[in-house]
Order: sequence, then C-alpha cells, then structure tokens
Amino acid sequence: MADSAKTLLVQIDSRLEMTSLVGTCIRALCLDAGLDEMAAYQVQTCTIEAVNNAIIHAYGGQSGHSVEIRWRLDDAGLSIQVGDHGKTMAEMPPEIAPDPLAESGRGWWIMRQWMDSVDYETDGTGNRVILRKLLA
Amino acid sequence: MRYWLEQEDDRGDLLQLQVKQLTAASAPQAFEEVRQRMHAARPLVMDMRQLDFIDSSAIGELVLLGRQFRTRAAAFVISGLSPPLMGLVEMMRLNQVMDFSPDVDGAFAKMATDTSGADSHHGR
Repeated sequence: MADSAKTLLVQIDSRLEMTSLVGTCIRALCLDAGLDEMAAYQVQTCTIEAVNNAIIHAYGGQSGHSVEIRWRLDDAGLSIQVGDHGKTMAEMPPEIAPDPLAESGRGWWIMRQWMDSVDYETDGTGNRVILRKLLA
Repeated sequence: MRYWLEQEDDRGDLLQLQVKQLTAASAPQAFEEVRQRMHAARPLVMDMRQLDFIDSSAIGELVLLGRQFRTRAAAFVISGLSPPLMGLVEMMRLNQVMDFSPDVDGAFAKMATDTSGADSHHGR
C-alpha cells in the first residue's frame, strides 16, 4: 500500500540567521495542513527552539555544520525532526517552569508545553529532537 | 540594520520596532540599540505591533532589558504584541514581572497611573 504521508527535508547551515527561514517554512506547512494561526505559530516557535539548540548547544554556535529539519504529515498528525551531528545533550532539561526573570532556559519548556510530545534521540548517526502534534 | 524608529511623543520616549521577527540571530543587536537610546530614568514604551515572531533567546534579551530599566527606576512598557506572542509571554509568566499593553495609548496611560514613576514590578 502506498504511503500517503507528506514529507519534506530542509537542510541548513548551522547559522542562527537561518532559523527565520526555517520558521517561515514550517509555519506555511502548518497552515497548509489546516492548523489555525495560533497552532501554526506554536509549531513554528517549537521548531525554531529546537534548531536554536542544535546550533548553539550541539555545535557550540559554530557555522559550517548541518542541521536537518524533516517534516512529516500523515493521518495521525505531524512530526518534525530536528537533527544534528554535534555534541549530544548529557541530560534532559528539568520539566519545571522557568523563572520568569531567567535570561535563558526556556526552549524545552516551550516545546513541552506546545507540542503533544517531544523526544530526544541519539545514536551513532547523530542527535534528533522529535516534535509531534496530533491533528484533530 | 536599524531595528527601531524613534517616535515623537510628548508623553514620553517611544520606540517602534521595524522588523517582523526577533530571534537569537537578531535580538542581541536589536536590544543593544535600545540600550544605546536609553536615557537615564526616562520612561520608555516599546511598540512591537509589527512583530510576528519572537523566540526564547529574544525573550531572554527582553528580560535583561527590563532588569536594566528596573535598576534605573524607569518605567518600561511593551505595547502591541499580537495575541500569539502574548500567549507566549503569558505562558512564560513575563506579564507577572514586566508591563504590557495592547497599544501605545494604553502603555502611556499605564505609566501615568503608576504613581511611583517606576515600573510596577520594580519591587520583585
């Protein structure tokens, strides 16, 4: 049986100025998939947070490395994988609300609040953050 | 790149953001521009109605800027954030530690009713 899923792979260099393009692309894909403005904004934000983490933490803010964003839409919902080949995250960030006066440490909280699930996987080929959202 | 347009307003200083997105790539420079325009103890409204995206790095820069205003005991109000962006602000509880208003007039009215002359979250 043919796979009816729609997939798209976007690959960027590990430069922070590239994240806006990724966000614009993801937002358009979400709207095309039928999400409303708020939900599309939420998925856009979570994707950019994951891409920021790959560039800043996995690659130490250095350009010249690859970040891959894989979009998949099927009957169950959408998933976005953000992959890198840099430093692996040593431990998962705590699932507690960040202090409103903190200057950093909000990315994972935002992803966990706005996506239906957020997973982190690592193996010999690299690291992946997997964002999932169910479609009503 | 110039991020802000300084608007004439007899009620106080007003900066209007000229870009649609503030991210880890742009926020440090954008808020550094604000710091360079800060006048000691002068209240400031930052009109962000043109903004349609902000990430957590930019929120961190916003928090840092708000802290600098509190240190100077100067009122600081952000106006015009769209509903999705206010949703992010509320989820991060920034509205508990900083002042926001739907529009510029409301922002200046908020300053006028603050009898201390400083941001209402100054004591935190």
